[in-house]
Amino acid sequence: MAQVRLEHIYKRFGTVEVVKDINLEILDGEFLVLVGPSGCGKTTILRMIAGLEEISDGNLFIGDKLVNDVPPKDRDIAMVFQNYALYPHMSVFENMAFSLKLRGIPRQDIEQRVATAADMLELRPYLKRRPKELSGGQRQRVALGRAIVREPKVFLMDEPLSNLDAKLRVQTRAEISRLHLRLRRTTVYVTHDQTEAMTMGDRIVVLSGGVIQQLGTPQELYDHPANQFVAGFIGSPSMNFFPNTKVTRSDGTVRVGVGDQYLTLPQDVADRVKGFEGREVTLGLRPEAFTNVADASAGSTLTGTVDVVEHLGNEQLVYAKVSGATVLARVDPSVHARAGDNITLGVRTDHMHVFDPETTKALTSLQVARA
Amino acid sequence: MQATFAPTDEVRESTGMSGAALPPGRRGPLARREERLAFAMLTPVLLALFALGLYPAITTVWYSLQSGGYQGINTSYAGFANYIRLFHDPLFWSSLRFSLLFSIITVSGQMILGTALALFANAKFPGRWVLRAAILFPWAIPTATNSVIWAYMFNYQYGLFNSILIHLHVITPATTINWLGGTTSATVLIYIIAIWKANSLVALLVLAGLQSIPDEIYEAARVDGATYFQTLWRVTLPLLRPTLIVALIVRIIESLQAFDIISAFTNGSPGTSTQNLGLYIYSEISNGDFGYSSTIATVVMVLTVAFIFFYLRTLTRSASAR
Repeated sequence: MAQVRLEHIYKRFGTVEVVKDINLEILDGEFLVLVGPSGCGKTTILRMIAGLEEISDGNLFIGDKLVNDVPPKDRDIAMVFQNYALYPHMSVFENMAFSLKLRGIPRQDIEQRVATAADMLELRPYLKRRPKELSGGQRQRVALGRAIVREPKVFLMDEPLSNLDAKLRVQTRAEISRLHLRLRRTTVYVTHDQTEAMTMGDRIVVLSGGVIQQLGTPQELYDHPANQFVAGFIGSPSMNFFPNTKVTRSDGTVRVGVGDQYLTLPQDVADRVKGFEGREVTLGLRPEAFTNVADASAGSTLTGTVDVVEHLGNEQLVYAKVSGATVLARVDPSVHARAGDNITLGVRTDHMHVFDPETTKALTSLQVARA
Repeated sequence: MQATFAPTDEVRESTGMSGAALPPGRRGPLARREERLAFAMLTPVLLALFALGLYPAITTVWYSLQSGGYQGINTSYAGFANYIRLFHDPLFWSSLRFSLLFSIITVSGQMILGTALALFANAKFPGRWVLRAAILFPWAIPTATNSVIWAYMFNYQYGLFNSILIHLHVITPATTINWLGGTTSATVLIYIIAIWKANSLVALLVLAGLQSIPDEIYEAARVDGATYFQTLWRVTLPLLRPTLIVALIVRIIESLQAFDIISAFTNGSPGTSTQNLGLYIYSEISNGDFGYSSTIATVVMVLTVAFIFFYLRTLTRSASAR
């Protein structure tokens, strides 16, 4: 059993509380991603699990064992560091074999384990090289190899892809996912990149200010963001927010106003924001919630002026001014849009998100709620 | 057919690109201008180095082939006579022996103590800046002053150490210890003060080396299961190797040339038991034998240059290793 359990975990540096009341159960064999902006406490949580950081308060269990005061070497974990942390004076083989040598494992076993890991990571030709003779991607694979040979209960990875270029990052991301599927070890992965989190994690923990904002599968977070922070953080490009949007009812129809324009809410959506009629809410629309206007019905379009168009080949990102707000829409490349043009964007109202402006909590995530 | 990726004339025109390609192997005008600037900047230093380093060195070798005289006055060409004399001179051999022993013992002590201090000063504990400042203290005292202070402290009549021993009733005023009068005690004491004086430099260099090792490496070692001493032996010291070698060579060169620290402490006494090559050179100059003193100086120079070459090779190697 290699589940990891965090119970009311706190971390304080002096008087500053950087991690607050974290309660989390990471399942055996699960790939859990901790994601959030810089300073949200994700790396601190990982370091506490590793034993590299003292826990100020709370209990940490690996398996059934309370490990608060257990040194890193006795926690049966392996860690992949952001800057690889390879020993520069050792060869790739020695780097991978170091922990095994320290544990007094026989030479033959060490060689076999390193060879297996090296084959898995295609490192066989580089075993005699020093880290400085390797590319960034190869170094990262050595760091992974060093973790794998230990056959630990838990893998901890601290932004392991952040030093790689964009193409290599995508490749290594897939490699790590493949590796996880093969080894099925409990993995805690820290990143600030929501794309990494979405593509790799079985579940994702979104953190901000040392507090868990939401825990869920990638799809749950995308469809049901618990609050405005999660809604803005998950999804790329980010969700568009329209603050001070008034909810009104006339002739039995509930609408939300966007400047001098309005969007009609479907009935079930209207039911969910009943308590907010006559009041202001924050409206959230993902860039992909916009459609070709031909598909749109009355009360589900927004008109504005094109500001900038980014052509990506398979799609285009249109920045438009809509009633004073800047809106980013992901539209089909067949839509002809140029800076300065007037544009009418269709809105999939069933993809709208509505947030309480005071608490920033989601009032509803309509699409999934209906499903 | 090979594709060409050079910009077309239209692209050059529209983007304002210009300039003809250089033939392979030829440096462009920008590179040549940088070279000229580099030489212009280096010339004053090269001239100063020649005047202050190379010229005295060549002159020393020249004088080593002369007999007697002072600063070239009343000297006569003697060929290798001085070198033959040196070979048969027991005082030269005892001075060389002391110089080498002094280097080996004091540099070893400085390396061990300096590294230990640096490791201690690199640890995280409250008020470590006090220790870091204290490490520098011996280095901040001028060498001659340092030796004179120590010589006073070991003075057999009114020295601090005898006074302490008297107060502790270990000795009486009538039986004070003549620390600097005994061959063994004077030699050991000179080793101690030389270690005390220069371990600061080693500590400073090693501390800088330690601070260049990323914390993540130590953390990786902790996760890998290394104890403090395993980390020290297998990670820290190997990573400090270039720094340690530089410190070692610098200290060896300096210790081979030591003069003031011994001169102000024992001045080679008792007898000539603590006389090194530096003091021997000085005594021969004082005796007016400029030729012979230059011969001894040439030997010191050759020894030192050998270490400098070793030093430069190490520096180049560690630079390429990075």
